[in-house]
Parts: sequence; structure tokens; C-alpha cells
Amino acid sequence: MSEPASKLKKYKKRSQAAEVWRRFRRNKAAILGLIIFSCILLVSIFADVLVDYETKVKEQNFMNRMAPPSWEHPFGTDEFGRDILGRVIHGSRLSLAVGLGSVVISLLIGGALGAIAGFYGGRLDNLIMRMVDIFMAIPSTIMAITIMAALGASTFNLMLAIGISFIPTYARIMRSSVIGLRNTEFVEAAKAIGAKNSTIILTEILPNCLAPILVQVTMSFAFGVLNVSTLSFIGLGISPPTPEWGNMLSTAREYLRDAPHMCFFPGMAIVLTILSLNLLGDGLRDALDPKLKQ
Amino acid sequence: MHKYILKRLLMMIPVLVGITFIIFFILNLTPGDPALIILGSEATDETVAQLREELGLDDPLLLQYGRYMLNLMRGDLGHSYLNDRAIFPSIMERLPITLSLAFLSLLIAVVVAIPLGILSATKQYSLLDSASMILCLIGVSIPNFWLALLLILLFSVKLSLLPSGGLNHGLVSYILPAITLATSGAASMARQTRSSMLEVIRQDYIRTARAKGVRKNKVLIRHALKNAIMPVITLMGLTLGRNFGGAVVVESIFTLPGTGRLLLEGIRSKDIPMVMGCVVILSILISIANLLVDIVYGFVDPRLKAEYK
Amino acid sequence: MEIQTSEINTVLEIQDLVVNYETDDGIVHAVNGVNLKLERGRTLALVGETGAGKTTIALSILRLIQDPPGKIRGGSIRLEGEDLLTYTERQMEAIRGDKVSMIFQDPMTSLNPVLTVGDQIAEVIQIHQKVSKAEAEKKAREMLELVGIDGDRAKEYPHQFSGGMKQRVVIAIALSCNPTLLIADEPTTALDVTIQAQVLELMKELREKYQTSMIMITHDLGIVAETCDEVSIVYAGRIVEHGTLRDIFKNTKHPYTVGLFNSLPNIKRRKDMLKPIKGLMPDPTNLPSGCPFHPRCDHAQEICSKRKPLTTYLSDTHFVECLAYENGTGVTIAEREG
Repeated sequence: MSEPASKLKKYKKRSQAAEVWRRFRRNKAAILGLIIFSCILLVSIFADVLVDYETKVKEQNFMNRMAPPSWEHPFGTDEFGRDILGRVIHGSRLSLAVGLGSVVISLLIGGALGAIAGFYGGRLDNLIMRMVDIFMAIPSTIMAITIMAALGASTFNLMLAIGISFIPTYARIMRSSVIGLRNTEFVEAAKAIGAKNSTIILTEILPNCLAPILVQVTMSFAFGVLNVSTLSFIGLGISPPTPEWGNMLSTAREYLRDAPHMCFFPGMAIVLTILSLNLLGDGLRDALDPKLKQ
Repeated sequence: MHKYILKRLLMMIPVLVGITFIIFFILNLTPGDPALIILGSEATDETVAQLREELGLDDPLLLQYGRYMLNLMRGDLGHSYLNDRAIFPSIMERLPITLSLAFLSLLIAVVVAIPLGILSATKQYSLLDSASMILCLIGVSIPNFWLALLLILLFSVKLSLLPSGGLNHGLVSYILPAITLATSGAASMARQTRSSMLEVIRQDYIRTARAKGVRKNKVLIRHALKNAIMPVITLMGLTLGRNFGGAVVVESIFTLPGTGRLLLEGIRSKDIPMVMGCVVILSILISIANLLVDIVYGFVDPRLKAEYK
Repeated sequence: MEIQTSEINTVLEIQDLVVNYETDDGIVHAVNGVNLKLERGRTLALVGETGAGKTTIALSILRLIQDPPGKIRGGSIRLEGEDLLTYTERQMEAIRGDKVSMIFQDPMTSLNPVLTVGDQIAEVIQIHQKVSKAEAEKKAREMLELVGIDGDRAKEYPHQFSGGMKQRVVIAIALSCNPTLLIADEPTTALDVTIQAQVLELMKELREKYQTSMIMITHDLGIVAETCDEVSIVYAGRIVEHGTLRDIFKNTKHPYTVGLFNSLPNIKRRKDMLKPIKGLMPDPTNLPSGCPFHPRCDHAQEICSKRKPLTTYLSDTHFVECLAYENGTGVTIAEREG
């Protein structure tokens, strides 16, 4: 009659996931976000296939500079005659890559700090959370700018700079989830069996923290895309001629009067990416809602 | 109340120390020799070494940090590597512009967001509600620099209504920059106001108020809003803080001679003390903003007021 | 002449009230044709289980039904002769708190946490009476003293009071303008038993002092016996039995009412098993055909599922809606023991 506790837990988790998906599916805005973001993701993965780098992105054609949108160049051309559509497509790779990288860094470091602080409590908890509070006091833009100023421009540095500013958020989420779960029965059971603390954290606690973390991942991904384009815009991120939405807008600024179309499309790309991620995140949060109340 | 403020002021200090510590160490990772930057690449090795000695650049980092903090307390933020001007006065003469921009943006955001949020909550599911929530969603997703470019395109280039930069037109020069900065804050505050109001309107004490015969509008403002406003106030503090960060970009686009732009120029020219000084001042401002938020809390929520008597 | 006198004495008269909650998932028939009458100075109990429609009836009197999804679809509610359902919102706002007051169930959440207790009492006084702020505050303090709370505490906030004291404040607010009708929706359910007794006693005193008519909504028959003159038993949005205290307690007729009394443990017969009413409250979006109680009734016959019972008057004061009491239906109720 009674199944072993772990099997029951896994069974419950599986049907929990199905339940969450069902709720997510009913939210039209969230589905829209999912579709848009998937398209952007696919476009960036297959960028090379869609748009040949050499001809479309790098090739300059001074005869056709700053041409408004046409059949041949649906997004128009830039100040060097390059096709903007191709550059926007290729630019997606950097934005998404840095966004993803920054999330991974924040999640790993912040999550580890939060889990340790929450699990062990006491002075260690205090120490870690104090440091986290101090980091939180610095606005992310300024923090990112400072780090980029110090380390210099490179894709990895960008991921680091943006990722560091989100460490406090992940640490807090992880910590409160862990504290909530620390005294549950299955943790006590694991301890009774004699499992090591690290094992307990990894196998019992972490899987149950997934919900709020997942929501935060979409949100900080969106922020990451925003920050990398902001940094590139002010010249601290990816510099031209590498196509990146932010630096494309920076150049477009100089030609605002003569070629207004140049600033439109890269900006739309940023907005669409962030918007779809926000919709996804809101949808996830609503679908996971009762779970989040843990 | 005074004890509360004093306590929070005291708590600000270790946080600020921590911030300066972190920033100092990060900035010291910057490649390049400051002495070389100051003297230029043609300087001889001796002059460089001499300057390094003068500036104490060869001392252990902790010592340099300590020296910096001592000077900070005396109001001395050092001298710019670029033009050797004292940093503190340079920042101070530009600070009013940044402050005006940040506060004006907050004002615009609050004036727009709160009524919008209340209206959306009272007319839930209506066209107004759906439309404004969509606008808010776009508002939080739009990068401020792109919004700035679009606004300039529309109002300066096409319509020639508003200046695209500089401070030549007095208060009018602040309009586009302030709107740019205000947008994402307004969007998130409107959303929060709406959801707080929705929650509060369902509470029993609202029903009690109506059962007393209180007019609908008065119920909204006196009974509902006062309860719903707390998370919005938190957002206000957050928005003000973000405004100081966003000012860096906005001042750059609209060529406003503020502290944000000073920071950016410092970074571009590897003027470490300038960068350090700007970040320190901005961090202090943000901490004060958070303190202001906490004080406002105390006035709005009597439960907190009692705690801190 | 006679009609006029009875109109003056009849504080509240509800006729054929129908209230629905119209949602996307279906229509909830909360109130299905309710008739009741209340004379000046009397207390009527509205008794029934949760979901029977008691609170909806009460909220309808004050026109505080949440719209959407709630809609009053029929009937009339006459307060001292005037049909409240024809009033504008402005007119209703003038009445609420002044002629009709309501006390709600949970005192912990009924008061606004960010306003002082004194302000919340003074507010209702200022709205309905032409007095200055200072006078309103003075009156507020008097009301506090009246309900047994030190007047100096008017400056305090709700969180500084216990549950029982909060309910006293709520009572103070409700009675500040000397209402003609007071509606109390389970005012003591959320309180400790000892506090319950105090609050009920307080309400009794104040009622006698001001000659307020009262509707007491409750599911507790003990409270009914203590405080009420007349009882209406509510089931599935209708009043299935109504009478004086004596009628209902000593001459119980409707099988549902009998079931309610039987559900009470009897201290004299402790060895008897409890007799709960079988089944559950009907789904208000899908009410049973015929008599709404028939699925749970021990005496139900085929005709009970086919036809709704009419109102049968057993005396001047006592009526019941049950086919067993109508002539010629062939439904009978076997004599019960005890």
C-alpha cells in the first residue's frame, strides 16, 4: 500500500510538472512569449545558415550606404552599406550568449552562496548575507560599468560583469528556499540515514528550489540582454565592427537625422527579446504560483 | 522617530565602507600604469617612477585603500589623472544636474503611474486596464537608450519641438531626458500599484468602510491606497536608485553635463580616481534614497511607527 | 390608518428577493425568492449552514453585493416602506452606517490597520451627522466608553487591540449613528467562547437602549435561543421555515430544521450517536429539482422531487415550506422519538 518515500516524491514531482505546464499553457501571453523567444533563439543558433557572415555582415558597399528598407535589404543598410537584417540576426548570438553566460555565473555563485548560508545558518549565514547586502547596494549598471572599466572588453568579462550584479538576488532566493526546506521531513530522513551535508543539499533541497529560481532565470536573462546592449552602447561592451544590437544603436545615433531606419530594427530586436522573456517569466511565476508560496 | 533615522544613518556607514572597498579593489585591477597615463607615453622611466612614489602607487593595496578612506572623510577625493583638478569639487558642480534629472524622473513616474494603477485596478478587465498593462509591459522591456533615440527622432528631428541635448533651454532641456528615465520606473510602479490595489480592495476592512457609507472615491484613497502604497514606496526607492545608474546613459545621449557623464568620461580615459569618486558619491546618494524610503514607510505604516518610537 | 401604523412598525420587508452570481462557470443561485419581515425593536435570526445564502441576503439589504458577478435579479427590499432597490448609489451611501449598519464576521480583518480606532468611529459620525471634527471625535470616545473600552485608546491602532476588543470597536462604529436596523453576520464566530458571551451581552444592552431592530446571522442555535425573538431557517437560498423562538424550538416542523436540532449533541443522552444530516449542501449552480432539500430528507417521496413546496402557514407567526404540510400531497412525517 505505501510506496517508498522517494518514489512517492518523484511521482508527485512528475505530476507537479504536468500541472504547472497545464497552467502555463492556459496563459496566452506566456505562450506568446515562449513562441517569440524560441524564434529568436532558433534564429541565433542558425544564424550562420540563414545569413552568410562574409557576404552579408562584413561586406561593405559604399554605393548603397544608409539605404532605407527595401526588398533586397528588408532592414535597410548601415553607414558602410552592410545589410542590417543580417547584422541584427548575427547580433542576436552575442546578446543571447552573454545573457546566458551571465545567468550561469550568477546562478552558480549566488546559488552556492545562498545554499550554504541557508543550510548552515549562524555566523556563516550572517557573514555571507552581509556581503550580499553590500553588493546589492551598488546598482547593477554602475557595478557592470566598473568591472568592465577595470577588466577591459571581452565576451567573458561581460558575462562576469553582468553576472556579478545578480549574485545577491540568486543568493537570497536560494537561501530562503533552503531555510524553508531545511527542517522538512525528507531532509531529516536523509540525515538519519547518514547522508553527507553536501549530498543532502544537492539531491534533496536543490530540486525543490527550482520554481522561484526558474522565474528569476528568465528575469535576469532579460536584464542581461539589456545590460550587454547598454554597455555596448556606451562603448564598454562589444565594439564595432562586430555586430551587436547595442553598438549598432550607438552608431545609428550619429546618423539619426539622415538614416532614422538604422536605429529602429536593432532596438526592436532588443525589445522583443526582453519582452518575450518577461512574458515567459510572468507566465512561469503565475503557473508556479502555489508552489512559490513555499 | 529620530532614533530610527539615526540608527539607519549609522547602519549606512559599514555598507558604504564595504562598497568603497569592493569598488577600490575592482578598479585597481585596471591594467595600465596611472603614472604613465598622467605623464603621457613620452615620459622617462625616472619621472614615472618618481610620480609613482609621490602618489604612493607602489604601496600595498590595503594601505592605499586606507589612505583613500582617510582622505574621503576629509572630503578629499583626490585629483583627476587627466587634468589634475580636484575631484570632489568637479563632482559637486555637476551633481545638481544629475539630482534634478533623477528627481524629476521620479516625480513624472509617480504622477503617471499611481493614478494609472488605481484606475486599472478599479476598472479591472476593461479596455483601459488591458491597454495600460500592455503599455507597462513594453515600458519595462524597452532599453532607455533606444527610447531616448526614438524620442529624439520624434520630438527633435521630425517635430522640432524639444531640444535633443544640452542645457541651453533651461527646464525644457530636462523634458526628454526625464521622460526617458521615468518610463521603466513608471511602468513597474503602475503594475505594482494595480496589483496592490486589487489585493487591498478585496479586504474586509474595505467592505466595512463601504458599509459605513463612505463615498467610493474616498474609500479608494483614504482606505485602500494607504494600505496598498507600501510596496509601491519600495519601488520608488528602487527607481530612484536605478535613476542614478540610468543617468549615466541618459546624460551621455542628451549631452547633459552631469555626474553620470563625468563617470563615463573617467572610464573612457582610465581616470581611476574620477571613476572612484563618482561611484562613491553615487553610492552615497543611493543609500540616502533608501533611507528616505524607510522614513516614508514609518509615516505611512503605523505598525512600523510604533516599533521605532 | 391601519396600514400606515403597520408600515411604521415594520422596519424591514423583503419580498421575492432573487440574487444570482453570474460567472463564466455558471450561474450561482444564491437567493431564490426570499420573503421576510421585521418589526421595530425585534431581533430576527437567519439560521443556516455555510453557503445557504444568509450573508447574500444581508449584503443585498445594504446593496453591497460585488457586481460583477453578483446581480440582484428580482424582488423588493423595503426599509420603513421605501424600496432600497430603487435607490441611487448616493442615496444608499447616505443610508449605510446611518439607518442600516452591518457587523461582519472576522474582527481581525474588519478594521483598517493604518487608521486609528477613534478616526474610524469618528468617520461614520462625520459622514452622516452635521458636526465638526472635534465633536465627532468626542462622540467617538463616548462610543468607545459605551462598549467598554477606555476613551483614551481612541488614538491607538487596531493591531493594538485583542479580537474581542476589536469586535467591540466594530459594534461601536455600527451603533454610532443609532441605526434603525443592525445586521450582525456571525459576530461572535471568530471569538473565544467567553468573549462571545461578553459581546452578545453588550449587543443586547445596546439594542435595548436604542431600540434597534436586528438581524442576527448565525449557525449556532445556542446564540439564537439567547438573543433572538424570531427565527428564519435558510436553505439553498430560500426560507424553509420561519417562526417565533417558541415555534421553532418547541414546534419544529421542517425536516431540515429538525435535522439541525438533532445535530446538536444532547448532554442528557450522551450515549446516543450524533445524528448528522446525510448528504451535503446542494450545489448552488445546479440546484435539485422540486424541493431543494429532498435529496437529504428522510421523508422524501417522489412528489418532492417534482414540485417545489408552497408556503404553508401553521399559525400567524409560523410558516413552513414542505410538501408534508400541504394538504393532499400524500407526504407525511413519521413521528420522531424524543
